[in-house]
Amino acid sequence: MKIRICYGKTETGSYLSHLDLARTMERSLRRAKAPLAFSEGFNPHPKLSFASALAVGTTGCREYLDVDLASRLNVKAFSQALEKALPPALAFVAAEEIRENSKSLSAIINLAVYRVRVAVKPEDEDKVIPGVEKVLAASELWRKPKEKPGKKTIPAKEVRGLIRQIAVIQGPEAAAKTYELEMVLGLSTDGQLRPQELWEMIAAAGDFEAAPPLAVCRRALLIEQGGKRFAPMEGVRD
Amino acid sequence: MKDCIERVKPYLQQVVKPQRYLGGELNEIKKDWDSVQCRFLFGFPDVYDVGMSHLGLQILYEAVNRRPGLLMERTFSPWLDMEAIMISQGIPLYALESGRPAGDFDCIGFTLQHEMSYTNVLQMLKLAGIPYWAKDRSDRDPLIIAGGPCVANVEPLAPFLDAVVVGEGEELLPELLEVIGRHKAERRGAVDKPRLLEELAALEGIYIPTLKGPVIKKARLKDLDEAIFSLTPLVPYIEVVHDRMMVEVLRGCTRGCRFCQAGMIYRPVRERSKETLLAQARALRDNTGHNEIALTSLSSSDHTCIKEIVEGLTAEFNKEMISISLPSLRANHFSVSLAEEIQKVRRTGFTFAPEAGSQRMRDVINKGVTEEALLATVTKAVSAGWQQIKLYFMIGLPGETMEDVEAIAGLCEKVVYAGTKVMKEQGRKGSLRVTCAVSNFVPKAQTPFQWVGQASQEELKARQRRLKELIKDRRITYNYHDAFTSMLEAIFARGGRELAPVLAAAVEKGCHFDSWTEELRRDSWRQAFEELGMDMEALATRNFDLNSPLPWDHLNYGVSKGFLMYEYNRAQGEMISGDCRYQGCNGCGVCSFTVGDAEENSARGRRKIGENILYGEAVDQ
Repeated sequence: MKIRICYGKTETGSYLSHLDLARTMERSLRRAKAPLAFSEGFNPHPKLSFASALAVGTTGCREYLDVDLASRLNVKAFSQALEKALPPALAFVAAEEIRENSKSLSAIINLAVYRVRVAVKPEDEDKVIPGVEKVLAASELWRKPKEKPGKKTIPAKEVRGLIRQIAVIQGPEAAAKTYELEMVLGLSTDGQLRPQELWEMIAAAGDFEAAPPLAVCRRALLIEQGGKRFAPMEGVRD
Repeated sequence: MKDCIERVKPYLQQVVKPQRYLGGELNEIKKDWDSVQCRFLFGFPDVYDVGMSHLGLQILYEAVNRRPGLLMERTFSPWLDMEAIMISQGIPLYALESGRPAGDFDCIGFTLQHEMSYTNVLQMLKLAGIPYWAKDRSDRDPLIIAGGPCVANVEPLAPFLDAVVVGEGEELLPELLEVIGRHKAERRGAVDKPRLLEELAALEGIYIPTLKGPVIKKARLKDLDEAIFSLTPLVPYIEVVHDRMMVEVLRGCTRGCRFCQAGMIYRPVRERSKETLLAQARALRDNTGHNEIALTSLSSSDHTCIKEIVEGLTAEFNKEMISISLPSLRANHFSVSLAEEIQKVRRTGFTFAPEAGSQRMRDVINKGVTEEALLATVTKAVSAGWQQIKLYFMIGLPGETMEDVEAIAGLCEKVVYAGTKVMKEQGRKGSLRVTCAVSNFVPKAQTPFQWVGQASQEELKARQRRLKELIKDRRITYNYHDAFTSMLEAIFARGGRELAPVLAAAVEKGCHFDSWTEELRRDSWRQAFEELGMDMEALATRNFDLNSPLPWDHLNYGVSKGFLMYEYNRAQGEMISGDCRYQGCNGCGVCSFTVGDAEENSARGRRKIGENILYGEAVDQ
């Protein structure tokens, strides 16, 4: 039996690396008495497959994980047990059985919705919306090459196609001068754009200085198919 | 702002392993600050990932927090990246549970696991904004206490500490904190430190460095089976050094290795029953979700029912893919059978500690292992499928000659040949891999070798070089310890209060995290000693006269000085002494330590011998 779990990553959890998350999830599943299926071999490990990893520091409202089980279980009882078993870094949202031959999460999820809270200097207050408009009006946008000491340089990349929507949800708030932006970004095996990078592009287009975002939350991971958008849990019932 | 966790959050993207600074783990206990009489902060003088592997922390967390009037929180040394941020932003050392500054607590207790962590204790007090000299602290500062194995000679730290827990802390520490709580309640929250220290001195096992008094007897548990143990330990999110559940199968060891401080200070041997251990293991599995359980002790295969315990655990845990590990196995057939039993889920390497290369030297240190037994064990382990063996040795042991050192290389080669032969016979490819890990002998307080000086730096390095020359076989990996670090350990392990100013000077020069080789500031240490007119090498290598007083004479761990001398003399005569569990009593004195215990211990001893015969092989002499 295969099960799909939807969970949240709280502020504490946002600092977990992907490996920390996998370890924490395995322990939680064990505490919830999930009959985990294990890989064969020298060092058996449970078969967990996560949707695209979150950057460190980013919280997540609806993250996903598929788990292979060795025997059947009652999903409702298991959901209650898992909710109790998760540590403060993680929050339970839902669990559903999925077909054995379901495609992997990374193969089907192609959109991510982010909320990004940013602060701007008072004199730049009026530059944010024009920056957003310029980015959306551009026909192509290039991400700068990334150089890291000791690592291979990631070449520049055209990313306009990954930017689906940017909405200014709120702001600027009178006192704090903060904006809240919603960004809908394409996800593909070919590449993805981080919300921080898009914020820098907006700042560059609006000609102001981008301070690192105050908070970033991935609100949803979606499947876009034939012009419609589904949550990964919705596809389960077909 | 009170909550220091909120204050460090903006900087978490700039540090490695930010989770170290946040708390919020599974099974964390957050008690209401105002509902208790005494608030205790446990300080581990190293980073989070090292400290969270420490079983003592988990036991004390339970022992203190289960009392309604007490509260215990945790703090660790921030790693250098976070330390720099905290200093520049004016964020003090804080507790992971409440985020409160360390200075808010009534009492801060440090565990002293090894000498190289001493500078971190001082550095943590500095970060907390608390004067590290006890005499400079006011009644409003937290009481600073310490415990752990290094208390066996705590004098180099004594001027920094208000009180010291000698011996086993799980019962004594909560008692000490209750006394602080009552003292404060009687004075409407205020502390009269001289009076408080006198009240604490009345507890058995508490040493107050500023008070002259009788010899302090260590605190010890009578019954390990009924001892407090945490069944809901904290489960870290990040990978820590030992990421597993731990059950303590027994405490104490009477094998009598003459260099071993733990083997002397944790006597007598007390076992936890099979029933208790299995029940604890089940509870830990349910409450942690770990995929590994370690049976910890100084020598777990010495438990009289270890076979049944291991069988009981494997029967339940193997099917859940929970592996079992048995650190510190002795080199005998029985160990291999145990290891075969437990390593069905995940197989790791096999580790033994012959400690010395020649039989003569093993007799001097009373390590009851023969070459034949070791080779037979290796043969059995390799035929059971292992292809990696790790061997621990020490150099610079008392009376050691270059021949004894060379015998280490010889023994490793014999092990490689014996193991590879078995593999060939079984038609397996490759050869046995041996890791030869060599440390430098550090004489420790409260052991038969406490009077002996360490080998000089030149001697240690010459012996290390000799081994490097001799070990040419590519199947043997040779690694050895830094001689300078060992010298510092030796100085502090047997030094007196005169070393306290050196520690302070070293910390002021930036020394801390000395056990992290890349952070060890050798020149600063050398300067600190020089400025105070002390010769490092002379301190480390000095021999003590058998009749002169020692800096730790006022602490009584139950093993008498007469016995230590007797064992020292036997070492010089290359005579071995048996384990009193299987052979005659050696008169170490621990059984007559508390009135009434002698009879009980001898009754336990008889029972054990009976049970050992059942398994025959448990006695490997």
